[in-house]
Amino acid sequence: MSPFDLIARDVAVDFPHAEILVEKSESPTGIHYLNIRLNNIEVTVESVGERIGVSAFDSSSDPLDGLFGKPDEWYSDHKAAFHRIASLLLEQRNTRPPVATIAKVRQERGISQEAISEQLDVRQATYSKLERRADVKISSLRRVVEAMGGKLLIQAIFPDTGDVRELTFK
Amino acid sequence: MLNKRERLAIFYERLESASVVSTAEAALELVNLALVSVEDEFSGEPNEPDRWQELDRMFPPQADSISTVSDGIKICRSRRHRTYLAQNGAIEIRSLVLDPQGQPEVYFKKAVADGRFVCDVCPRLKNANR
Repeated sequence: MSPFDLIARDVAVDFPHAEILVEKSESPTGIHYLNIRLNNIEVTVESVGERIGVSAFDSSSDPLDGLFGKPDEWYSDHKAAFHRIASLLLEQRNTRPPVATIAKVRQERGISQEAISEQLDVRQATYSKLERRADVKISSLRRVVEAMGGKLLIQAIFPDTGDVRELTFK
Repeated sequence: MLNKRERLAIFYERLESASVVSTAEAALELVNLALVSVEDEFSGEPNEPDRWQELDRMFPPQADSISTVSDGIKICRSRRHRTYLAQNGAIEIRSLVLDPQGQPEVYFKKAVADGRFVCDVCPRLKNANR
């Protein structure tokens, strides 16, 4: 069985309630597609040579995401790909959370500029300027995110290898 | 540079405003040219199809992702969508799955000179996706 077929089989076994669509290319160099829908998540798997591409979309994803583009993540090992697919289906997460500004995240969390300025011990005008800047120090961004009750993670993604590394600074 | 949604909007505009074609092959060429031109101008990424797995650029359907069904419709499969090219040159891009009412979500459609769309040439696609 090919790695793609193994993944399709394992998904069908482990997620019997998922809607699964398998379409295999007639061409030996073509892409095989596996689309999996479970509750609010759609995971797409594409097999290209020895590599497996994985993307996941939820209700916040743009309906045109995935048109003519590349997968969000690449795997060279089908077991690693399957673990990732399973995790996305179980956690109902997409591979690419929607990009948002600091202001948008603050508003979504129902926090006013006055409240967060007070927590940061800065004037509101100062904080307001920060939200409108195109470039912000990482230390400032970390303080803002923590003031919103979150944790700042910075990731470096290397598309050629599929590596994702979390970065830290001394 | 523009984001993907913006580039797709321009792609659809260019497809819509292009001269009508009269064959599926010409329709495919039209899709290819429109997408390449938009990505060249607005994606900021080079046109290197061999590197499609790395680049944040849309590439046209490749020959090995295109199938021709028995009534002559060419279907280009991508991750969550299908692009249909009818024998008369009509084009349609729609979602992979049908909604609970059995209808696809159509993102773009272009008729040809006689006013016929893909579903007019191939009525079974009105509530089916293959």
